[in-house]
Amino acid sequence: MKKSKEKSIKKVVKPRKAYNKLVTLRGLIIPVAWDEKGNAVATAISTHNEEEYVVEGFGKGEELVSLIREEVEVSGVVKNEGNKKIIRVKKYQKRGSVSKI
Amino acid sequence: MKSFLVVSKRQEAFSTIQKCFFQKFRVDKAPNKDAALEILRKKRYDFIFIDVEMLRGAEKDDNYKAALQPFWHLYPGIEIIVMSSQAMIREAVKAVKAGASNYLTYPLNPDEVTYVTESLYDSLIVQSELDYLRDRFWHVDFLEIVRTKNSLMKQVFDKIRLVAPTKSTVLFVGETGTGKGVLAKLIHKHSNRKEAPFIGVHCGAIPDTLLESELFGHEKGAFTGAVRRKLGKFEIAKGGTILLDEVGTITPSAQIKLLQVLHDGTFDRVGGEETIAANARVIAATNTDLKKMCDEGQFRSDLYYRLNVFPIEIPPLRERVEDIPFIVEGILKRLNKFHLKDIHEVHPQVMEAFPQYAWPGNIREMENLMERAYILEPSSVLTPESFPGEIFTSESPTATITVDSSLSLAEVRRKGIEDIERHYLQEILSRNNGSIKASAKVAGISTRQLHKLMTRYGIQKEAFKVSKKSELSIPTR
Repeated sequence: MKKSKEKSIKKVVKPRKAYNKLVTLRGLIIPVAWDEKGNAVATAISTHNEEEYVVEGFGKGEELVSLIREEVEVSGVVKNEGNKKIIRVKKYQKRGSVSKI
Repeated sequence: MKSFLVVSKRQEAFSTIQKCFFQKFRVDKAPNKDAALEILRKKRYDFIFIDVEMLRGAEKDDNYKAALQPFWHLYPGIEIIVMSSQAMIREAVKAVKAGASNYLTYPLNPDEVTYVTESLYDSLIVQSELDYLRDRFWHVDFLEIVRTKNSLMKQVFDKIRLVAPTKSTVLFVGETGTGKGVLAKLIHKHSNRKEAPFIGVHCGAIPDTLLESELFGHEKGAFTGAVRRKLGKFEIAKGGTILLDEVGTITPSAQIKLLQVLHDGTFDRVGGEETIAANARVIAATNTDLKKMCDEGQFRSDLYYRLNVFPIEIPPLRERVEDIPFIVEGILKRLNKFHLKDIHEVHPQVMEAFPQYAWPGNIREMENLMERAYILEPSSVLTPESFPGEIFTSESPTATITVDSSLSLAEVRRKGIEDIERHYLQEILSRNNGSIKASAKVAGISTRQLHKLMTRYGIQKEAFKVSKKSELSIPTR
């Protein structure tokens, strides 16, 4: 009886969560996707240590399209998807301007 | 310890200044401009107080810039305060406009003397701090290149400072000879990849059949003549920077491979099966309108968008004439380094003519002309005789039209139109380096019509072709 009980116990493996952390980045806003007319529709932050963080395209992140090729400081939550880093923007400010929360 | 040199025949001027700074700073005097320059060659001074009459010279001309130049030649940072009587205030103001720091009027007021010198000294300190903070970014070897008075070039250097530490693709757009290669190297040397290779590829100079192999390498047996595996420029530039000059000339198949590099960060060698990770920072350069080429179907739009991530437009030399003295100085310094001659000056007539010339070949043309003049020049100053005559001709077409009142109105009208047409054709051929196709397009006529007009006016396209060096060699070092 004990052996059958032991056999029925299965090891449950929980799926690994994407690691989320709040960071502040400083870098250039660059375009990474375009529509048919050549207008940028998605952006990324290119940092001074040669990393790129793709910006989630809604909320505050959507506003960064108007700051393409400008230097910004961005705070947000970063998650990894494959070999890409994606940031959900909480607040940002153009270098030298007032913070936008 | 600060030091002052007073250049004036008025003893009271020297006494007043000496009393202001007695025992604090060194105050010396000189009776005239030549004696002052002689003293300056032996000792350095921070401030010069000079009578405006002494700057005017024997001809009593008001070329104060030329009169002040010898002082700056010895000490570029020296502050020059001009002294004048009340009647000569206008001349003192002219001298200040020509570059003097300030002016004082006779009889000198000690408080005013102290105030002017202290104000100048304070602003010097602030400027030095600003320059230090600004120059801290630039490597010492490149301080000469980033020197500019032109607002457009200041924007260019600001953009370079912004983008250099990132991995973003940069696209330089500018006419031939504007220094795209030099600026690409400037980015590389101020990036995190400065210790890694910088590989320049002139895409326009490589035959179409060999371009892919040159950029991405090939495997042994990939095509006839591929006797062994060859590494492409992207592999050699691994960890560093690759400059793709004249990127608009690359073949459609090379465009696809370049798109793969920029999109996925990978590429394959020609005839290869292995996907290789590309780890080179891409800088592209072009003198053509890539957007227009996309509209005409000659360049891939998706590749253009990825190259155009951070575009930097470089102004032609004729739009930054205020930088000509800096550029001339830099070229002369380099020529003196590599040749045995010791020529340190350029004749004022040449320096006056340079900003008026169109410079279709931009900085490269200037380097070529100066090198030619340097070789031909027998004296220690580059004189007008060593330069081609077109540098000194007036650009205004109205200056060459003469009116013969003995002719009828119809004949004068015909002659006037012919003169204007001839000058117009010469101008557009000069701006397009003798290219018939480009010139016809600008003029809005067919190439056949242009040929007919050129034959009528005896114009040869060869006369407008600027001799080019290989673009693989970086012109300024």
